[in-house]
Amino acid sequence: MAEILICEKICKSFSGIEVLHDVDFSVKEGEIHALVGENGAGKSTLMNIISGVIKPTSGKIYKHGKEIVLENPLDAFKEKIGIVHQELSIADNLTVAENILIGREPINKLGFIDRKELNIQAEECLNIMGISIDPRIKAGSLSVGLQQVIEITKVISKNIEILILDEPTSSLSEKEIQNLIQLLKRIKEERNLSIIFISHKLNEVEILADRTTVLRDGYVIGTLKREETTIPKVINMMIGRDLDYHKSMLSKNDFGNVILKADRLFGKGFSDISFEVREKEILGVFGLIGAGRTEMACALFGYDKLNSGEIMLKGNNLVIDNPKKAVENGICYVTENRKELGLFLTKSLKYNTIASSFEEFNKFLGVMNEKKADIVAEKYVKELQIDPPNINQNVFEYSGGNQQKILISKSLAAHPDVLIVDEPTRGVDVGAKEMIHSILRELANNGMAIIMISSELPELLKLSDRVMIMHEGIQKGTLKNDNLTEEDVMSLAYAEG
Amino acid sequence: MREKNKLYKQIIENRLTTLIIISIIIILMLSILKPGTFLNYSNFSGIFTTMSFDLLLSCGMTIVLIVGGVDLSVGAVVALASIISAVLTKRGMGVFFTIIITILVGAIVGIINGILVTKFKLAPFVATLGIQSIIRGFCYVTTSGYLISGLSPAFTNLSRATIVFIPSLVLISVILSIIVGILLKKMNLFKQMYMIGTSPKSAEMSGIPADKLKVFAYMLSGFFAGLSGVLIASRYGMGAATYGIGFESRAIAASVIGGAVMSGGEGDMFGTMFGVLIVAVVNNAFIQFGGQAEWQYAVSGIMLLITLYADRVKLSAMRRRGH
Repeated sequence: MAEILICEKICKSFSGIEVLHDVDFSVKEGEIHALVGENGAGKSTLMNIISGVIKPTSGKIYKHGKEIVLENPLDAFKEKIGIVHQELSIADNLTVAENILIGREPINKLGFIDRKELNIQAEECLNIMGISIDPRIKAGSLSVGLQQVIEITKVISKNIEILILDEPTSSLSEKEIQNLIQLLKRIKEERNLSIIFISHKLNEVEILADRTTVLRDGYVIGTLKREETTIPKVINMMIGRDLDYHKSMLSKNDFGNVILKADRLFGKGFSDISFEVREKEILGVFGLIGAGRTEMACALFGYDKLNSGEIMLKGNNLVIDNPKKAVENGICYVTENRKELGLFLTKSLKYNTIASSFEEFNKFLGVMNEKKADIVAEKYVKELQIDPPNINQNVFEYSGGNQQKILISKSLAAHPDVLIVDEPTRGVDVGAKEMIHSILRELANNGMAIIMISSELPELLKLSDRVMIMHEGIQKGTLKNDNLTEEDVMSLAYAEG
Repeated sequence: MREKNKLYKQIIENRLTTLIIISIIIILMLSILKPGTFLNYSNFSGIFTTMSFDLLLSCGMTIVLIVGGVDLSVGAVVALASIISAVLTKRGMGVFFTIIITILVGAIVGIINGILVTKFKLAPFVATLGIQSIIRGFCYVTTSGYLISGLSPAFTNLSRATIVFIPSLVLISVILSIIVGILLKKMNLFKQMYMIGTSPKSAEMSGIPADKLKVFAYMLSGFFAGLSGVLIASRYGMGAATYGIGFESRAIAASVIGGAVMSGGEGDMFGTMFGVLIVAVVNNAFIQFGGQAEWQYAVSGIMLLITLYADRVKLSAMRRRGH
């Protein structure tokens, strides 16, 4: 296989700080090339250079052996390089056909969009991809997985030769991920397409990638061929040390009293959910996207409406109709949607940390006790090893993993008895993930009751003392974690009745 | 390139210094070009009077902008308050109670605005615009377009007196602005308001009483508009339905020039004070160079649009850094 794209000694500096150092990277014709590395390793920067979003400080890019200069994304498209970003650019109120052919709609004699032709062309594009969706329906009515496919169709239909996918599976369900993997393998074969694939999910990389390049701190650590690629090896290259990824973190605790008991909760997206969680216990909640886990948690927390059901906190009945009440009663929720529902991106780490516990920082007559806030923020920066350890830095300047830690410290600063964490390691790299896992375990050991919602089974099995399984809004059962396997959980999730 | 970026960043970050420099430049320019008409007592007294009213309204406006709202009703509340205080005074009520009652009415209008925005979930723009029309209409109907004059000297002296050569009006507004400026920087309550404006959903999820504090912010805005109305009636010796037209655009412009953003979460009263100064001086400059006084509404509108455009550019720069 010939090399279609070669990047030679790419360097990139932002305000004097070099983030990519002499990066050599190449893609062959018709290969799937995975690019992995921790948050901040330089993956996105490199992809932005290849797709023309930013220009390298130095270095050369060759395509088919000829040097190319990419001034902007349009140049990249002219060179037949297309990118699908992590955040999709699907317009919800446009139809599937309009989304696919946006900006190049066929026009009739009067200069209007030729709808008939539009739908025919879109259908052709979809056929090539091997998917049957009615091009006339609104894109907003499709699942995230299908929207992803529409976006990929849109990019591929521009006759590109190199497709870049930036974390395409981060918001997909397991089934959608499998479909996407099949799709990528097929279009690679059929169209001799080269695909660059960025992912944090190493099992996907293992299945999909013909070659894998590992970046760390802006350096290329190495490129592995398919047969050399194993997860432990990739992790070692990514973080520079070995990590026992699946090492169980179950406690040997004697659990304490029941802290939170939920009895027959009904609400939008879930029905008849009952569970209890004790001191020092981690209750895992497993379910695929659409299982109603987040809806249940938001209702429990008072952000959404609970139609019926009882919540008992330490034996007392409690009506929680807003999040403030939940927080006051010692229930905190770490959202899965940290950018919109969790953090204050343009505010400092310090103020994000104390956002759930403002009441505790009064001096006299309602004057803010800044000194105490500094101390608390410093404490969590140290305990959770937030990097850089600068409490006055704005949160958007932190990497995903560190943002997640800041989000967790916000809840911890409110001294909860019950901590609900929803997808605590989404979009977080391996090192930070490990760190967050041990933090959760330690919190439980110190007496907290934790409810951990996750769609990642390995994570749940590693940490939870019991696992509650939800599927399409219904509670399928709760399993004690005595050497529980993924098969046990999955078979219960899909069990009839 | 890097040097240029650094300089740009410094200017942006030291907004206060920039604002002071801009104010000084405009004032120097006017002093040199129009020494006769600009540098005289009656012109300065005029500038200071309008600035005082703008300053009071801007105190409220800056707070409302911080929680991510906007209050278009303040100009109408000024008229309403001027009429109420004039009527009360004429009926023989004492100065103290007149002030208290009028300000209370302003605060109640603010609370209504707040409830419309939080409980009824109306867009701040629409809710406060509706209230503005209702109040302005009410003012015209109740006064039948007449001015309510002939107010007692005890009442008119309130804003005409001078304390150590400084007009009481100026003193009141500057002192209140400084107090608000300090409170914004120091009080726990206002710190929470900044969080609400930055991300309303995150604030709610964090357990910050977002709705309550938003209502409180609108209430403060109504409070300052009410006070401003009392003082305008006292200054000109009458209540009128036509007071305060276009005041809201000046207050918004001043706040945004001073560092507030329309999307919320930012704002600094000390910046706003210079924003008020710049708006007033630019308005005055227009008159100095031969424009009719009536053009001031148009000038305020133009300034508002320019500052909002700058706000937009600033915001997209922030977003770019955010991603």
